[in-house]
Amino acid sequence: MDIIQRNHIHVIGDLGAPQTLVFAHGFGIDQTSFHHVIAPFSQDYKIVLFDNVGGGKAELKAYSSRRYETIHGYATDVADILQALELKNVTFIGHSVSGMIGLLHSVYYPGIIDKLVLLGASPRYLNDPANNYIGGFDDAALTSLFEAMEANYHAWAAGFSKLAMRNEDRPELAAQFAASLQELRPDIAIQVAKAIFYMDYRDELPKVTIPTLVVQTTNDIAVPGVVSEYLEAHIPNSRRTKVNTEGHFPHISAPGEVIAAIQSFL
Amino acid sequence: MSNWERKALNFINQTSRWDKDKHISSFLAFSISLVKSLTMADIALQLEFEDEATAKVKCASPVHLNGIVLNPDPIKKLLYAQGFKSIYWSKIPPPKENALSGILQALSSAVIIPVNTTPNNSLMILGWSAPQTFTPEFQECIETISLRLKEILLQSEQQLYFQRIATRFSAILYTIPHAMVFINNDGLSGWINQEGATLLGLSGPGEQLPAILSDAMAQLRNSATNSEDIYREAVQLFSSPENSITNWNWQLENNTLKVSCFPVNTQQISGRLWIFE
Repeated sequence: MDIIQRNHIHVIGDLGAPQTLVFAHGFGIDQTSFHHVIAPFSQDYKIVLFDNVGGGKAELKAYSSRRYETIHGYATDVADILQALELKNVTFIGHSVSGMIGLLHSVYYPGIIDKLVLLGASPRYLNDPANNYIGGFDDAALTSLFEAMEANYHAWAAGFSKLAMRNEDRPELAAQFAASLQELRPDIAIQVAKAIFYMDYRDELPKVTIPTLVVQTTNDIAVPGVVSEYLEAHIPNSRRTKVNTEGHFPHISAPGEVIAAIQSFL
Repeated sequence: MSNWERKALNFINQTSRWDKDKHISSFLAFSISLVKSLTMADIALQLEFEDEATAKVKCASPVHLNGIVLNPDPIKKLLYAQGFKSIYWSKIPPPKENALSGILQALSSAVIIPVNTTPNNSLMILGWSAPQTFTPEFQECIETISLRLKEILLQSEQQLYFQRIATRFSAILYTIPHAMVFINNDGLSGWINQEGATLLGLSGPGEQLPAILSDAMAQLRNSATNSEDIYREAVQLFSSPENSITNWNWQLENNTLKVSCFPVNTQQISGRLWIFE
């Protein structure tokens, strides 16, 4: 299958620029979520946007429940994309689960991504009391989360979007996220959500060899502050920065802050 | 006997003992780990072609490689180009020419062993950090091991397949509200579900000797108030192995059972299925 079509890839900005920024969206949204972030970079960088299979306008028939049973399938997709576009000097900006997807790619396909930006990323969402790890969710919370998703996906999407987006003074943001979630095929959304919420890639963090920026927001339902601190502590050559916004989507709720954070890192 | 011949024999011996003693689900992982140990490889894993988009790492040592997904097409092309024979890379090709680069990081040499067990084709992959020279004796050892691995894989897949089938059918038959009894014509085996066991006063569901099932059914039949009618119908029913019956009333003291009895004839099994509603 054609990779460009599969992932609905768009390459914009300065197509002849020596450096490339790859923006990768998180669960329930698509490449348009970076709309307000990319403009300042389009003069000096080649910019690559794409949709993860199962979301956005990616080729639905490319969805394989086996390939995407874990996020390794998405890391292989990133390898396909970077290889198909013959990209070099890549900075990978991954929101949420795509942060870990980019991180896995950097570990298993070294030498292609030069720098990583992790926006609201987490290596594990489930608490691990035996190892004093706080991921933000316990077993009961995840069980009830998936029960709610399976019972009435659309109702769950409406409720979850408000909790994840925060920024109650701008309800249109949560409404947009809810609409985006509701466009997903529920069975795919549930499988991908399980792959995300039950993943555990803490052991991969020390293997990262490239400079990494961890971007942390406040009051993030999916990623508590301590997770960002954990990432900074366990990824060699990483640093953490806080952006002044609430919720799990800083690039949507506070694009200016995210732009400044990325610019300071490039 | 050369060192590599001894290792091949060692592999066959150890995997022969294992399959008698241990659970099948860990058999393949044990076998791959054993190959790794015998060949002093740094990694060993199975890469299974799960569907057109998925070649997935399983039974890996080290375990962190488990779950890595590769694209099947380029790997299949590589195998096809090599005539589906084992591939010995004393020097691993650079990533751009190597469909397996995602799992062969920081390694110098590798062996790729196709283990075809249609429909679930897979590979076994061994990798070494230090450069290796693959002598003819080593290659002969690998070919012997690969034959045994194919047997192990087939055995594992079949066992797991049958376990899944058994689990599925047990769940279905447990859920069916009717009492069901199957009596094999071989006279040696029979089966009953929970409802059936309760009706016939047996200890529980599952395999039962046909004699026990027949006795229990005879007691039930004799307890019916219309046992003579039942007997007459039974004579008619058993006059030919092809006969079946439905809506056959067995009037018990407190209720009436609607009984059906069908011949079951497939290539693998023949017997009679009784259903009590």
